[in-house]
Amino acid sequence: MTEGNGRLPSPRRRDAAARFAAWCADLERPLHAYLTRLVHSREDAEDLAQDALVRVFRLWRDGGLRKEGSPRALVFGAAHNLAVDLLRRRARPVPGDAMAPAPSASSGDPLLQQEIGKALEQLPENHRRALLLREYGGLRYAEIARVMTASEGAVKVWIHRARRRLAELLDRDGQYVGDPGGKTNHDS
Amino acid sequence: MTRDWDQELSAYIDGELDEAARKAVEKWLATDPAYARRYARMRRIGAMLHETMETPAFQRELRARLEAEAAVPSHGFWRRATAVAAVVTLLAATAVWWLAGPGAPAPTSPQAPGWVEAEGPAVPRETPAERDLPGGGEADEAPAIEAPPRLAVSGSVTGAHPIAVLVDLDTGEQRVHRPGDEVAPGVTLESVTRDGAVLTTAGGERFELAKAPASTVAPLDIAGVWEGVLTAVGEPVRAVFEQDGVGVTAEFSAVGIGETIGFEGALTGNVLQMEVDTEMGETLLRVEGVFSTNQTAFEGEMIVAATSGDGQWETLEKAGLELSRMDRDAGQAHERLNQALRAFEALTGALERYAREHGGAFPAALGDLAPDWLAEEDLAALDAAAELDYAAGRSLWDPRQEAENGSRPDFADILPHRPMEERLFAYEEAVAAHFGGAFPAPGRLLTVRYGDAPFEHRVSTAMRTEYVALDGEEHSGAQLEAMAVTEVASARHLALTVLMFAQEHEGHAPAGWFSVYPGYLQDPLTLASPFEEGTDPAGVSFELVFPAINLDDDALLWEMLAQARPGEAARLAEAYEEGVAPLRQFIPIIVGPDHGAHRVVAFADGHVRTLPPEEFNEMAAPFLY
Repeated sequence: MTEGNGRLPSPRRRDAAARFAAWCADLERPLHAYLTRLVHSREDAEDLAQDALVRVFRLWRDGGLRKEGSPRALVFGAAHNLAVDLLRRRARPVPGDAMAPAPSASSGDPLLQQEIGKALEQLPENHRRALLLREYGGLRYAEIARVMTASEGAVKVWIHRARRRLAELLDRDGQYVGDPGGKTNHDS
Repeated sequence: MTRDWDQELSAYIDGELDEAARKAVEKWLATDPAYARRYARMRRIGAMLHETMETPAFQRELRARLEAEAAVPSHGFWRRATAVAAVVTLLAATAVWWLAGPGAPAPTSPQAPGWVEAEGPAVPRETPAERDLPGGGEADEAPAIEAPPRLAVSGSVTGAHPIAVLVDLDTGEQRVHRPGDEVAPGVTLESVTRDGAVLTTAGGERFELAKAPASTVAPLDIAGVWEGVLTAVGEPVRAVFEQDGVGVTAEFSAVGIGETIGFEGALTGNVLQMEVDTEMGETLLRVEGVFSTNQTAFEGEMIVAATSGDGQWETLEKAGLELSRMDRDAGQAHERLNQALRAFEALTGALERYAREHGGAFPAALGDLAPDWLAEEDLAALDAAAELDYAAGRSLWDPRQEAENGSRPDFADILPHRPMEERLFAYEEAVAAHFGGAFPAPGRLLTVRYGDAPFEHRVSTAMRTEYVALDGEEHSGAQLEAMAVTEVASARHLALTVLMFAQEHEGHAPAGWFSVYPGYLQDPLTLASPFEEGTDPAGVSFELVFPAINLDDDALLWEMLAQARPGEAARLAEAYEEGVAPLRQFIPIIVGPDHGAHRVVAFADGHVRTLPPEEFNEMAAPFLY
């Protein structure tokens, strides 16, 4: 995953919408994947992804983007805030299969999708969110820390624990193998 | 060191490790198969997450929404503020009023004074709240009107000598105004309020300006020592400001009394407002005033106020306060710098000795120098005083990286000063070409920064030392100083090169620079004085004196010295016969370029002096052909 999609083009053009759409084309899949994992609904994820992009578009168009900082981090930060708002508004999701999105036709590997979803649900919320911001958002630890209002050190630990736990829960092919006796043995 | 290397593994995958840790992890990966397996499994997690990404189908809808957004005229600053607030939740919504904002009549184009013709976004009449949300194809129906230049108040001081600092929101430019000042053609500052300012136009219209959010104004840099006087009492005062964004703390001391008062407050634009609660809790000491935009002067008041508990503060007394920024204590800075230079020389000397004993290889870490090459205390002291970035073995051009990525590394990522990197890189390429692609030694760098010293030191491949000014300004004092020190370092290095050559050639000095390069002189950049950089493509600015003499054959030198400085020659001859001082150490062998003001001369014992013209003429010129 590349770090950000580079700088946004200048907004002072007639075709601002087209230019922005082109810029965010590469973001759509990871952003949607990220939101789906957070809100457990493909449709909500689509809405939230659009909302986040539209907000950043406005900011960009109105010249409110700071020079420093990656626009990609801004998009994922906005998406994160919107998702957390949504989760607060609706009843707390039930973890597990019931809430995991059903595989869709466009999914690369429906089985893998399900298995990973199962494993992700085993992770503490912060660990999961931090890892997903890193993997899908490509955000730096410092950026994740800002989005999650946590320290960079905490983010580092969360991501590490998330990866280690997933490596225990999933075998080489992505099969969910659960937690054999709860014993950590990540060396086999 | 107890470090959780598994945890570092995750940070390694994410590219979040510093150079040293990254190398450590790579070493582990290469040597510990179990560690490498864990790495592979952790890495696989990311791949699996990406494999399960779906392609969402909202592109058309998104595009339509973006088009609708784009069709709505920009709402300028207010929109920006709300959008920032929406996305970056940290920024609280701040009420920003336009000249034509709520509560003020909007000037219409024909009657508008000239300054409203300045480019600005259209300002719709609707309130921002109505605009809040991602409404699909909704269009803005409010007729757009011409907006005045986007001014806001970045700070104000009320009281006997009111001041308003106006900031142009487009350019960020700030100006200090007092009531009665014309702030733009036909527009006058009428009065200053606690929350803003009132402007009047020639046509009699009144506008209220409110304060700009802090985020629109680049904060001044006021940290440091300021000195001045409390005018009413004629008391000399000294203030040490510390700054964290707009937050400012200051220690004020009345020089005569020696009592220190700590203030806390904020810097808004050019305006400082600070206060301190006295122990009574019912009196308040305030400092208010304005910094000059060039950050060298401060003018304001120190105010003692009291309250009887009803929230109203009454000014009991006040004094004018004028401060100006103190230059860095030149003497102290110089002393620190000298210490730094000495420490640095000890360090580079130790590095060089180490390399000599290790077939040209440099230590993996600076710690390896102790205690055989550098006393442990020296290293510890250096470490405490300076920021050491030692990068032995890191080549600027890593062929593996090039093979892997198909491109050369972006040096801006490796080093902060690009022109220098480019030069080093060009040099490495040249050397590589010379050696048929192989480096005599990979590019190595030691960067040392000393606290507040105005420049940092770098050692490159061939122990060439470069001093780089840190203040970033071309030809500022620090830059010039860095260049001068670099020139001296180069002269010294060249002198040693010549002596090394002479040692191995029965005392004969090299016939020219081509005799020492590349056998003795590894870095041809050393031949270029930083003052003459870029003027000569060959880059040679140091003159080799007596290119063909035998340094052990003193007869000629005697004669020349006797002619040039007979008194000294006699004295030296005496010393020489007693075996106290070898004569040749007083012979200049390298002469730097003529700057008019001074010339650098290296003598045959390796010591270097920077000589003013008259001394140069006396000491060195007689030896020049």
